[in-house]
Amino acid sequence: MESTQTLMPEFYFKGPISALLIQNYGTSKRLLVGEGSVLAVYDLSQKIKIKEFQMFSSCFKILNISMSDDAEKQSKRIIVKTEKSMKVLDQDNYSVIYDFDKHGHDKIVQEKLVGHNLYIINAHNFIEQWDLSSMTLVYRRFCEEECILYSADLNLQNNLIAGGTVFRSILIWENFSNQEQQTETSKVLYRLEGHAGVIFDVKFLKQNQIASVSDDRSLKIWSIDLQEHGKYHLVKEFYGHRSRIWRLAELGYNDLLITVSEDATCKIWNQHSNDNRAIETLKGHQGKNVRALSCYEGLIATGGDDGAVKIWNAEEILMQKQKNQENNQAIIHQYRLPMVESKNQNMEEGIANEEQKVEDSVEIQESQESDVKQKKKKAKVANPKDQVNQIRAIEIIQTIDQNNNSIPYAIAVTNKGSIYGIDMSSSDFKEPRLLFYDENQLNIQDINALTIKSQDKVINLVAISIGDGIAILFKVDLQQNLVQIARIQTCDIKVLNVFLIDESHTLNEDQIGLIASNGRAELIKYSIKNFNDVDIVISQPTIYKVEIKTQFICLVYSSKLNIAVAGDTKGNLFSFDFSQTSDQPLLNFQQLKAHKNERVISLFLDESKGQLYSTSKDNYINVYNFDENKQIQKIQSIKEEDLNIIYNINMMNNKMVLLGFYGNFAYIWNKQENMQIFSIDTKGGNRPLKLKIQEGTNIDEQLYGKHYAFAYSFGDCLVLCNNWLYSSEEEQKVVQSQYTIRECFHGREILCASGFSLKSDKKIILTGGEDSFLKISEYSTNNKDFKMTQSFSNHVASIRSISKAKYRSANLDEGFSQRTYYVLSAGSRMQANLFYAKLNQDNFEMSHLCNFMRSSEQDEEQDFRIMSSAIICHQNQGETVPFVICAFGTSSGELQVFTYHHKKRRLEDLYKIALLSSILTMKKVKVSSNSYAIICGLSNGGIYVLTLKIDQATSQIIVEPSAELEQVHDFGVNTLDACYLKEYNSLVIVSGGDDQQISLLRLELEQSDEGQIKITMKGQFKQYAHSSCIKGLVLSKCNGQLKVASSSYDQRYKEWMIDGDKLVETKTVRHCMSDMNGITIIKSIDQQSSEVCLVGQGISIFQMK
Amino acid sequence: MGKKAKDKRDIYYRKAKEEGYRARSAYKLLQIDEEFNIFENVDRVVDLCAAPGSWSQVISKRLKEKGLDIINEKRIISVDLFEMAPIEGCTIVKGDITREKTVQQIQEIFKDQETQLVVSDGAPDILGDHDFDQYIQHQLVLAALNIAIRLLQPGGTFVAKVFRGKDINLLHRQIKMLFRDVYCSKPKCSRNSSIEGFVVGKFFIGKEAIGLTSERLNLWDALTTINHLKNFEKIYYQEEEEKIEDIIPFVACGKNEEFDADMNYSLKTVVTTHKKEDEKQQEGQEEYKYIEPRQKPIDPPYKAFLAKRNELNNNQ
Ligand SMILES: C[S@@+](CC[C@H](N)C(=O)[O-])C[C@H]1O[C@@H](n2cnc3c(N)ncnc32)[C@H](O)[C@@H]1O
Repeated sequence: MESTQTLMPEFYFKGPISALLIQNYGTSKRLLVGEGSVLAVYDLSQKIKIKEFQMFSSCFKILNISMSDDAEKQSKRIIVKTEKSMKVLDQDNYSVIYDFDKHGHDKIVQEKLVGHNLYIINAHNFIEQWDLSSMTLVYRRFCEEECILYSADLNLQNNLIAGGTVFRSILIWENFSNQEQQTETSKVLYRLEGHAGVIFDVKFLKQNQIASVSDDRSLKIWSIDLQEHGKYHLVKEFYGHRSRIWRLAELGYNDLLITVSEDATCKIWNQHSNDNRAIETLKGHQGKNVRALSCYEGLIATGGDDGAVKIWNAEEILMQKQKNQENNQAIIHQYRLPMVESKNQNMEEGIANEEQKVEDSVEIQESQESDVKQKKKKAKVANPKDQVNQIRAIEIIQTIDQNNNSIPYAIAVTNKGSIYGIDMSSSDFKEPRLLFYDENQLNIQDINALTIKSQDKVINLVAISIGDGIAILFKVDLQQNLVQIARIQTCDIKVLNVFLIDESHTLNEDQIGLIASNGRAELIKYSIKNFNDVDIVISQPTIYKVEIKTQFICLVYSSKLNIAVAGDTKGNLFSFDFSQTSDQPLLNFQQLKAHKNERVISLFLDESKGQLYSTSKDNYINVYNFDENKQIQKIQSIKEEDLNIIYNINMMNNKMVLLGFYGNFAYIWNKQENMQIFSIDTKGGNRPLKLKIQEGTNIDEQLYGKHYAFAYSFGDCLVLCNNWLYSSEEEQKVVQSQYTIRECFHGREILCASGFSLKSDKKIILTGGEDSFLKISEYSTNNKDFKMTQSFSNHVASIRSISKAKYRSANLDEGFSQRTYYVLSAGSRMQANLFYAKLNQDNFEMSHLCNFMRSSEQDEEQDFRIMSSAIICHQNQGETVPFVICAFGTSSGELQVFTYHHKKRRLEDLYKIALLSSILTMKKVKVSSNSYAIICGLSNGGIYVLTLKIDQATSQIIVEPSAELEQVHDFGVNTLDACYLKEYNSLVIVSGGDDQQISLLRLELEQSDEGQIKITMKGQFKQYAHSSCIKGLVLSKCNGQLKVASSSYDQRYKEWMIDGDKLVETKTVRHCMSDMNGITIIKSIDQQSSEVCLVGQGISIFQMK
Repeated sequence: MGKKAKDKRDIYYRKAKEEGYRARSAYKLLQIDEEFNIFENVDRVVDLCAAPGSWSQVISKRLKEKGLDIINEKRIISVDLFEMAPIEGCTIVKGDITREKTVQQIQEIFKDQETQLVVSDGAPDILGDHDFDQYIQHQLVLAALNIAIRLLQPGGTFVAKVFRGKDINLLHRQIKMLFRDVYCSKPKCSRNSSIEGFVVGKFFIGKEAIGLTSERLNLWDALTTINHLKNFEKIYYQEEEEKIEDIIPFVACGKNEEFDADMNYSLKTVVTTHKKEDEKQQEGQEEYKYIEPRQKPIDPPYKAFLAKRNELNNNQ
């Protein structure tokens, strides 16, 4: 019976993690990971993979890994289960002790092993006991109730079975007992009703308690009365997950329960807590679904559909959290800024008008807020004295006083033309002091401060924007007075943001820049020389603007890159390079669609990391970095769920801090630990406007408390505090209490892939998915090593197609060749991106060229998208730049062709035709030295061919429809591939459809005198190939033979040979990957071997025969 | 997505609303009928997993067209787990089709008379765990098959929704044991690249021919019996892969000029076909009106959760 044979995996597979087990291994701990049919063993202290086994044939997914229930530690074994069979492994060397297979046809829901007794609960609600030593069935017992179980648990002490059904109830019935042998079935002893959906997991706890989780997003704890059958009660009910809860486990520490969910989080629950909320939420997985969970004495392992495995030290995390709460005793001061008495009573009306004007133009505010405002306005009319001094913006600076002490100093500006300053140097901050007051009580919209350190003096400068287009520049003197240096009329409308930048490139030149942004999407930039002098020089402004009708809401400036990034009302980011100057308005900018048609509310730039953050009304937090061309690249998009509106984002001590709302409460929220720092009940009134955090590097810690000070304003109420968050040593521990064992790949389904091969055994794989990321990974054929190297986030929605076109290959002097390609990705929201890739010996580099987005708001609502794409790169003799032509097939049946303009870096219209069906797939084939065919597969089963000819002499591109083949398939053509056979002058097209068939067409090409390409059908056949829709198809030529590879949702990959008018199957692979969406084949450079890459719920790579 | 957006996206959803069907699924049955003539010689029908009832509406209409008395004689039984609004001529049974009790209830209503057509449009409402969804779907088809075995007259017809996923070959083979002709069909109104398909079994070979005589035949028994007809273990455990010749024929149903389910149509597109030309023209110019769907969706399982969340929000 014993066999030590364990296999090396035949496949490389990276996909959803389906099972995990933390194993106590001598003095250390190990982690067993089930990913597809492969079991991987990791050492947790060294965080390395030790071994890998192919546990089952590739079509069986590991669904659970558990320890046997033997009392003795040393006699424990490991059970690895798939749908209908399992293997029992030795806990030391993982050799197979028992191979339990072929017991029947039902799905195993739960298994338990004690000695050689194996208990299995089956989906049809019956239990079996097997004797593994003889592989015989001891007994089988049905529950009287016929139903299907999703989950179950067996309690051997009480001899009870808890079955979680797919229809809301938990059935508790008795396991086989000798006395009742006569009766055939077991009665249901307790029927726990209360869940509103499928019971995804159920567990017996101590003291006759049972825990269960469900489709209804709740965790429930039940208690049954062992004395009286049928009697039970619901002890507790917990809520918190935002989606289905898949699994439940006991932490093995303080009676805590752990759950994992479809919302990609893991939560910690205290059974005995007074409220019904989780005590901690562990976030970190990408995309959707965390299904795998294992706990061991305070340690949690989670595995997600994103392929990541994370370890959390729950004990540490909770202790740290408590400590943080204790430490978090910030001293908070709130101020109400007094109205400055108006000297002129007649002014009142004027003020009201001004206020009115301001309110009308402040579009930064939520629309829902307008109600509140409306009410306020009415109140104002009734009694003008009630007008509030609303804080518009704040700033914290460090000033130096006469005794050379640095003093943290907060400055707030109001809509009534006043500026207040508050000295924060002592723990009981001083009262606000009026620094500036505008006679006309004009609205001050923004303030920005700049500290210039030149030679040994430190100068603090402050700029405000006031009234219609006026910017005032001040210097802060030693008594913290504002001394006006300049007053500039920048434009005739309100300036929303002002910014000061340091332009003193040389030490003796006192030059700064002032930027004002307004509601016409203009950035107006002045250079101010000798600001510290009487002969101050203000330059003519340079105007940076966009042609689009929009408004800039927020602005950040990077001194490193010398660019400014503005966020607008439509979810776009625009970046402007200030190294360009001109008398004319400059229209050069990068535009990035960052948020879905919702205003960008705030931006934050972390200069040290080179990262940019944006928040928007759509409640997503986006993270970006900048590439070498200063182009903004989105790297992450996080949906914020703890706050409803995020008004401001900041980083502190590497932690993300948000200012936002939830209900009536305004919060300052520590996003990293998911806890509140401060909250205030706004009673539906004022909304916070700004949050500023100042790192107190110059502030004397002994004198002024800990490292930070911050300020934020709630309308008329200014809140200041210092001494909060914890020091950085403690920070370290938090980071250590969690780590990643396997990195995340795609957070959602992979929809398309493409690949390259480098000279060594290295392959490059590009994948695009529902998670909108384009990822680049390296794969080594020799050691099956897979590593993600780059991630592009230019897309805002699913990427459905990736295509490439070779530009040229050059043999460089060093004896190795370099190849360059154009790469095109396209997908939902009518978006596409063009890249340029450089390959040599063992290096792959890809850079972004341009973004294309043709979606109007209406299109988005209708969900129009690019379903398929193709790219052509053609170089005419004598020309320096190639023609780059991109074709898109859309869901609305449009076939659109564009050319890439190298200088303008954008796609320009070339040709467009409306077909009657969606274009599901597309391929390009070169058919002569200067012509190409674009072949489209349609949703009505037809195939459409377009030809493109590039005239050598005139450089004109002639596009013409060439063939329309109806009903090639009985249903949609999902995938196709084609090649041109020169010797026959014909085009071979293979296609795979929803009708489960592969069709093969041979078309003869004929070039007429006028240069038109005529196509005639020469041969055609079609044959069944799969039992479900065919989603992937590749045609390849090998020793003059045509070969086809196909993949389908029936979870099979097949290889075929074309033999006359027949396809002959040469290989079949069954694989447990769901949603097999496509295949890409990567040939090695020497063309000797090929690797198959299947993508879907994960990626699987293996050798082609 | 707004209400109108769904209208724009899904032309069959609009068509159903305009033509009075409770769900777009109606067109699936209509298109299958067009191809397979499933109502031929039929006077008694079982509609399994019927809610909200659009298939039952189609069935009721068809039997009435034949001139059958569906009001006084019980000829149509519609079964679902959930409540369903009444439909003319349909006897509604609320129950789980995988349970023996439900099967007996159906038998009692028909007073042990045989039927000629059993249809099932059942689908699990879990959707999220691929493997389990497919497993449940498979079980629902087997349960429907079990009911068909017990109620169908030899020569009868069986239609069931299947997921063409992992174990579809196995399921096809199980159905092939019981019917002379088996097809996999896909109505034009189904979306492309979906695993959904409909298996159509024609000419039931009869209980006796299978060798089922047992009086009480629950699902598990039926399952094991079906399985033992052929050695399925071999197939399941990959020792034997299905041959290409064994793939059951695929039949696309619905006329070619039908709307394409994958396309997005403008709201101006006229969807109802039985109107006269000039009427159509008028319609085209009229402003599109949003019509509420006939049957509101059933409460989701997370309804309580939503309430809880709102409560929490408000209490803050
Ligand atoms: C797609 S709907 C059917 C639509 C229906 N044919 C129509 O045209 O209106 C699937 C139905 O299957 C039902 N169902 C799922 N599992 C069931 C079971 N075990 N027993 C009975 N009904 C079930 C669900 O309640 C759901 O109403």
